[in-house]
This record gives sequence, C-alpha cells and structure tokens, in this order.
Amino acid sequence: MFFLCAMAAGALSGLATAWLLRSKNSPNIDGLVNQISADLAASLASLPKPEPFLLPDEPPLPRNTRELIEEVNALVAELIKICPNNVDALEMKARAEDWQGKTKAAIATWEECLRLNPQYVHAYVGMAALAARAGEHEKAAELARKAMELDPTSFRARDILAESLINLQRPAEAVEVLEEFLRNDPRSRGFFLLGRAYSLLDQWEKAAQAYQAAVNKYPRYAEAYYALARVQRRLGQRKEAQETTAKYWELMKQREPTRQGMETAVDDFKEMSINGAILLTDIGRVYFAVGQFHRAERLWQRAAKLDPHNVPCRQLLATLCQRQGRLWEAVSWYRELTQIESDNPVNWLEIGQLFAGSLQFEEAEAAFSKACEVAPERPDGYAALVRLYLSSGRKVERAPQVARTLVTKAPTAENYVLLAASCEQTGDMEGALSALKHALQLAPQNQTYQRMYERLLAGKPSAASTTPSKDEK
Amino acid sequence: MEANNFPVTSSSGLRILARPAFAGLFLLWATGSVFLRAAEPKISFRDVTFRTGIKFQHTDGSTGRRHIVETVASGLATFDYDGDGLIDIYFLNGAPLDEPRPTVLPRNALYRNLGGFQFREVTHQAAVGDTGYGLGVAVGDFDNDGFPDVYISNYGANVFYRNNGDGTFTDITPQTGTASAHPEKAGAGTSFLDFDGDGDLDLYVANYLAFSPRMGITNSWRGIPIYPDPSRFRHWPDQLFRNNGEGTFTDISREAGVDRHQGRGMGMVCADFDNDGDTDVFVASDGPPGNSLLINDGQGHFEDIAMLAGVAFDSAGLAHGAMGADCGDYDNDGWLDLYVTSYQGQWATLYRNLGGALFDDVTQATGAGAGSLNHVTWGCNFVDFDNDGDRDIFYGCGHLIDNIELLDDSTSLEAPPVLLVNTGRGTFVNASASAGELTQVKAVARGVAFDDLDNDGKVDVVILSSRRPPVVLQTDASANNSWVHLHLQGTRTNRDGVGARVKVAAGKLVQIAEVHSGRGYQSHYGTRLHFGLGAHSRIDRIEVRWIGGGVDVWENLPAHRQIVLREGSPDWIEIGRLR
Repeated sequence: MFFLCAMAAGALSGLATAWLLRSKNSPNIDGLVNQISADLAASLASLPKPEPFLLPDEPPLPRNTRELIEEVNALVAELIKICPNNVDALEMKARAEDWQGKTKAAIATWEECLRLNPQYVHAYVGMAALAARAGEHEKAAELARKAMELDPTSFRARDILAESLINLQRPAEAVEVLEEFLRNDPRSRGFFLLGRAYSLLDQWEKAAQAYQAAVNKYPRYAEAYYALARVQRRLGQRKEAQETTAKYWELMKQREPTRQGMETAVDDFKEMSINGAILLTDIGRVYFAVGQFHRAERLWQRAAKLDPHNVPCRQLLATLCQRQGRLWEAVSWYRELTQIESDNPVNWLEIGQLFAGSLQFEEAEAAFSKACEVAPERPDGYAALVRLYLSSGRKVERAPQVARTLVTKAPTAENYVLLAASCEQTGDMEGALSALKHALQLAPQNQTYQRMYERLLAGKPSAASTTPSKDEK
Repeated sequence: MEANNFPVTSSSGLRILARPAFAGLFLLWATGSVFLRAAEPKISFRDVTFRTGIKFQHTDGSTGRRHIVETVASGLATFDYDGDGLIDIYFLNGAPLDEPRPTVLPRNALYRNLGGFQFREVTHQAAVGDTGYGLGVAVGDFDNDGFPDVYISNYGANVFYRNNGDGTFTDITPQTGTASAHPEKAGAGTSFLDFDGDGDLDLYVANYLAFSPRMGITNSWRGIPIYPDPSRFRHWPDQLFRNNGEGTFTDISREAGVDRHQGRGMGMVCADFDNDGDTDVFVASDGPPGNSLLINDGQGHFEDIAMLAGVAFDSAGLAHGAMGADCGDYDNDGWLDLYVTSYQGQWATLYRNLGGALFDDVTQATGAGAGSLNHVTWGCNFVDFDNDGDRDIFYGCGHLIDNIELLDDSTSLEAPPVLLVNTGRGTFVNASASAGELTQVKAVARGVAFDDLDNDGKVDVVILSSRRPPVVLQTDASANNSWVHLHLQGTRTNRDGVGARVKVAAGKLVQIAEVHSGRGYQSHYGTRLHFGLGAHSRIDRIEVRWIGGGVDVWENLPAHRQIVLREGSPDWIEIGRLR
C-alpha cells in the first residue's frame, strides 16, 4: 500500500489542475466569498500558532546526499530490527535499496517479502518495475500480471503490464488490458499507454481519443500533447496538430529550470531529499500501523522538513493531530498544505471543519469561503458555508444566496434541501417550497423530503431546522 | 598523377576484370525473376583484435577532475587511404586537459591494412598524428584528385589533412579556413557533403558545447562525484563550410541557416531524407531541444523540420541524450530511415521514414530498441551482416560515468555491443547472445565503424573503446548469401560519389543506399557500399543518381564482387576475388 501512496503523490498535483478551469459566473456569491476570504489571512494570523511537536533528541537534518543516504539506511535498519518479519518493513528496505541504485539487493529483498507473504502485491509490482527498467519485458509483464491477479485495482501493475506488452509488440493485448481497467479507474497514464497501443495498431482515431482523454484527465501532460499532435498529423489535422504542439511547447518550457547564472557545483541533494521524504513518510506509516505513533510522527515531521512540498507527510500529521485533539497543530499543518496545494479546496474545508467544531464561526466561515474561492466550480465549499450558517444560526441571511449558487454547481436533491432550509430560515416560504419541489423531483422516493414538503405546505414552522443531516439522503 | 584507387595488382591478390556491361538510362526494372530470400542465417562475430597488430590505446586525457569532454571521446574512420583495395583504420585520440601537460602527447593513429586482419601503424609515415583532442572525423575527397582526405573535429582547433596520394598527408588547415579554432569549442560529428550539387565536397561541422577546464563545473550523484551533464554548458553552433573549389572554404553557417539550432550536437549523418535529389543533414543532440533535421532546399538554405517530422524527440515527446546517428532503408521501401542511440533509460530509437517529411518512432513496434535501455549507446549502423537482403542493426554500448557501478548496479561501464537481426518482416530480434563472441566483448564504446576489412563480402566491425584498446570483430554468417560491394567514382560530380543514391535490384529484391561521409557516432566508414543479395547470383539492375548530376544505369552484373561504377561510363569495373 505504501508503494502506491508514494507513486500517487506525484500525480496529485496534476489532477488538481482540473480545478484551474474556473468560470466566475456567479458574481454575487463571488463577491461575498471574496469579501470573507480577503480577511482570512489576517484572521488566521491572529490565531495562536503552536509549534509542531518536536522530540527532544531530534538530530540535525542531513546536509548532503551522503548524510541523507546514511540516515535512511539507519532508519531502515532500525525499522527491520523493531519490526522483524514485517513485510511492510521489508518493502521499505527494498525501496531504499532501489533508491540507491542497488537493484540486485532490492530484488533479493522483494523476494524475501514474497517468502514472508506470497500474496504481497507490492513485491510483484516492485520487481516488475525493475525488470521493465532493465528492458526485460517478458519478465516485467509476467510479474505485473501476477500483481494484477492479486490486486485487480493496481493501476501501477496495469501500467507496467501494458507498457511491457507494447514493448513486446503485442499492442492488441495492451489495449485489452487497458480498456477494461480504464472503465473503472480512468487515469491519465493509462490513457496515454492506450493511445500508444492504438498508434501501434494504426488505429489513429482511437489513439487520438485516448491521448485526448489523457490530457483531459491531466492537462499538464506534455508527453500526451506531443503524442496527440503526432496522431493529428497522421490524421491530416494540421491546424489541430499545430495547436497541440504549441501546448506541448508551453508545458515543456515550464518544466525547464531557470538557470540563474552558471553554478559550478551542483548535486542531487534536493532531488534525493524529495525521494528521501517519501521514504521517511512511508516508514512512518509502518510504525503507525504497528502502533508506534511517536516514531511515526517523528518521521513524518522529519519528512516535512526534508521536503517543504511533501503533501502526504503533512496530511498524515494533520490527521494524527486532529485525532489526538491537537487542533491547533492540525490547523497549522493544513495551513502548510494550503500553501503547497494552493488550488486544492479540501485543506480549506478541513480547516473550516476544525474551526466550526470549536465554535469559531468567523474563522470557519473564512476558511469555507476560501475553499469556494480556490475551486469555484466545486460545490463543497458552498455546501459547507450553508451548513455553517444554518447550524450556527449566525449570518443566516447569507445562506439563501450561497445555497442558490450551490444548486447551480451541483443540482442534487440534498443541495436543494439545503436551499429550502435556507429560504425557510429567512422567511421565504415560497422559495423553500420551490426548492423542495426540485429536491423531490430528483429524489421522489425520499420520505424525509416528502415530510418536509408536507410540513411546509401545511405552514408549520420547523421544529428545529429544516437542514437535513448528512445521513438523510 | 591520375589516381586509380583500384590497383591492377595488389599485395592482397585482388585483380581487375574489366567487363562489358549493358548500359542505359532509365530502363525499366526487370520483374521476371523470383525474389529469392535466404533462410534465417546465423551471424557470428569473432574478436580478432589480438592478432591484428593494433597497439592503439585510447585516452580521454582524464586526470580525475571529470571534464565533460572526456565523456564523448572519440570517433574513428575506416577508409582506404592508400588505394590498395583494403580498408585501413584511423583512430582519434583524446589529450590531456589539465596542466601540466606531459612532454609526449597522445596522438591519433593510422593503421594500414595488410590483409588477413593484419595491420601496421603508419601514423608517422603518413603524418596524420594530430595531438589535438580528437572527437569527430570525416573522410572525403574534397579536391577530387582521387585520394581521400581527412577532416578532424577537435576540442579546440580542427585539423584538415590533404592526402598527397603517396601514402602521406599534409596539414592544410590554415589555407582551407576550416580550423574553427576557438579554444572553448568542443566539436562533435562532421561530414563532407555536396549540399549545392556543384561537384565538390563541402563540409558540415556539428559542435557540442562551450567548455574549458577552468570552468570548474562539478557534479555529484548519490553523494559520489560524477561527470556533469551537458545542460550545464552553453551549446556551440554548428558550422557549414562551402568548398570554393580552389583549396579554400567559406564559412556560410549563418546564411545557410545551420547555426540556429540550440542543440548540443553529437553524431550526425547527411543523406537525402526527402528523396528530392539533394543532401539533407541530421544531427543528434545531447538533450533538449532535441535532434535537428535540416532539409536542404537545394539552394544552400536549410530548414530544421525535426519537430514537425517527428525526429526531434521520441514518441513520448522526450528529447533523448542522443549520441550516434545513422540512416538506412531497413524495410526496403525506398526511404532512408534513421537510427539514433541514446543515454541509459532511453531507447536507442528507430525512426521510420514515411515520406512526406514525416517519420514515425517505431522502436517499440519493431523491437529495434532491444538491449539498449540499461546502457548508454553510441556508434550504430544499419548493416546487412548476413547478406540476406535486409539491413540489421548494430550498436556499441558503454557508460560515460566512469564510476557508474558504484551508483547503479543495473548497468555497467563496460558492455558488449548489440546485434539486432532484421527478420525481414519489419521487426528486429536481439541476436547478440548467439552471435559468436559478441557478448564476451567488454568495451566502453564510442565510435563504431563498419567495413569489410578482409574483402570476404561480410561487413566487419571496429569499436573505439574509451580509455582502452579498440575491438576488431570479424564477421561470419552461416548462410552463403550473395553480396556486392560498389565503389562509386564521380567524374563530373564529386569523385567518391558522396551523396549519390544507389538502387540495386536483384529479382524482386530492391534496395537503396547512399554514400555517406561522416556518420554514426562521430566516425566515418562505408564509402564502399555493401549490398546483401540473398540467394541471387546476379544483379539485374543498378541505378545511380549522382548528386548534382544525372542518373546512370547498369544491368546484368555478377554478385560476389567488388564493382566500380564510373559516372557516365556504360562499363563497370570488377575488382575482386571470385568465390
């Protein structure tokens, strides 16, 4: 499982870019949101800022790659000692060896994993990846297929299998593997491989569709734009090919690092620290799984320091602090996450929930408003705001306006009920009835909504609130 | 004296047999004969280095400071410098880069082929022992006197050797104006070509980057010092020199448009990629912005269409750390395809020429990248080793990080070369393991040259191995397929027929090739064209389209021969040992 988490981390930022396509077609609610969120920085800044929990024996951070490798090796050795015969701990060892270029040792450790647990999917995936890198495609395909038998949802195994089949000049089989899988788990890399497989089969229209799906899923996928442009040229779509090529260049230029002068000495410490942080985070997960929360937290904190942009370690720290009731520390980690993933509303929603839970209305409202601002097309932030207004009974007059925006973003029965509740709370009974009618049209069998509607028709006031609980769907 | 590259008698026992030939222009291809394809023959290589007498030891001049130039040295040339019908070998060498320099400097070395895989060093007598830092080399008869001349692309000043025709050379660099002598210029591949079709050979010089030991640029990986990557150095623009026809050249890089590409040039090859009758230029680039394909408008202007044509990057849009490049028609469809070697983790890439200025990366579809992923790959070529009528692929391997085994045990510094056999069905199979002693070869390949060193009708291989002695591989094949060597002789066009397009038809087997000067990984080889003919004992038709000239056709020629085709002459001359 840890292997997958590490691999998925890189893709998260890409998926988030779908939210970049914002259309501010709700000027009223935008004004409201902006007004509230503009004060957020100051509002959060005024909060006490608890220092993250630090262990007293914390050693200094590594200063170079050599020290980093030594630290990771020592941590892996300690993990194996503390968790003997633990297959997840062995996975950490295999990954650390691979990270250092010791592929033979990594293969031996993966094999050891399989002796402990012959069903250990990640060992098959790890060995398949190494075989693929060495150009041993038959072996890679065999191992990846075994992994997929054990875990049909393993997208990494699927990708290795598909790519190996393509390299073995069996693109039709790759199509078979990919199409079935992508129906349930539509990921950009899978679509890219599908496009390649169709290209090798000279099915250019289907190749174009697959590459288009890849860039739709991940709009910063430069390689897919290039491949799409090639296919468009094959299809005689010169204008489209030119536009796609321009997009490719735009993305590739963003990838090239800007060189400030000519540095004479460079190394890979930054890059290695990023990978080291992923390893530390996952070693921490192993400790967490065996109940060693203290060690887990220490490693996650160290990972956060090694890589200022590592998301999973901060998510784990925030969740841990939240569960242990260390709310300010949780807020602190979520705040870091909002800076790293500036277009991800989830972190603002988490902050808002934490404030709402501790009855700090203004801060909660500001956080939910920020969630709306960073992802105006997503309904989550608006729904959270409406619930906040209705449940707290404060600024209820704002609720209908926000709820109307909410139903334009996501016209679900639940959201129409929220709008109905907002209207009722502000005395707009006609609006409430109209909204509930919509809700009933969308969920005609829902007895709760039916009772609400009948009560409103009868002109009875709400007993407490019309707001449905999250369970009343 | 009037040169005749084909002696009436020679120490190797060759003899000339003048034969009448059926001559004629634009005749219809014979279509009646059956396409005779040989059974799958086995190709094997024997390492004969130990008995060649070659004592050359390459140096990259390294002292442990890890200068980038050391990673890319050097190329080599195989050509018949003395016109005795045997292919000789010229090795480039590196040089010390740091002070103090030793009093005795390493130098390039020329080995004369005595026959039977025996060679004797003649560097001193021939006066070709340049002590510059040798990177790339091309051979071409720039003055059309019948003797092949040599141009060397160095780190620092380049060198131009004129062949005097008596076994010696003269350094004519100053008078030609081709030194490109900036001390920070690191050269790369170089080629002679007649880009304007005026009958004399011009000179393209690809360049790598700007480097000086004083830059002090260092790098480390996984905590261990390694060579820096090329992106840390400014690229150095390519150059094109027009032959003025009286022993001098003019740098026309700017007006020709060849200095615009921002790539760090490596190996190159000049060929007619768009079948329009003039010579284009392909230059491999070590990293972004990708390879360049300069299309010649026939008027002396070049346009880089690599990106549009699909050869700048691989199929995923990634610019490889490309190293060597060569071309050949692997599928016998009449269009020259490209093979480009690259860095570890990247496929050595086969680009199929679809015509219409469009190529397709068919590496995965054909298996042409087999064996390349975990190595750095260098000199390469399409060669019909088994003479079955289709071209196989051979490439050399060897890392450029000299301490790579401390950092990554999935690869190695020394590595055997790779043979990919053409199945004849548009795919390749890695046959290295069954190719005799091939997998026992431990080389750190850079330049690789391909020529028939013993005139037995099978193309042999010479590998320049960085910091090591070279490797000479004698080729054998189980099947006794037919072959022909063609030596073009221009009379109105350039003397060696550089750029000329040759079409050979034997039954339904129709193949094309061109004479290329400067190719692969910064090397030169194959001036004498080699065609495998399968089971065909005769050639129905040979058509030669001369660069800047007309088209000549010869019919009904024998196989198992070396044949000279002279421009405008209806006769052909046979040199060779009958089998």
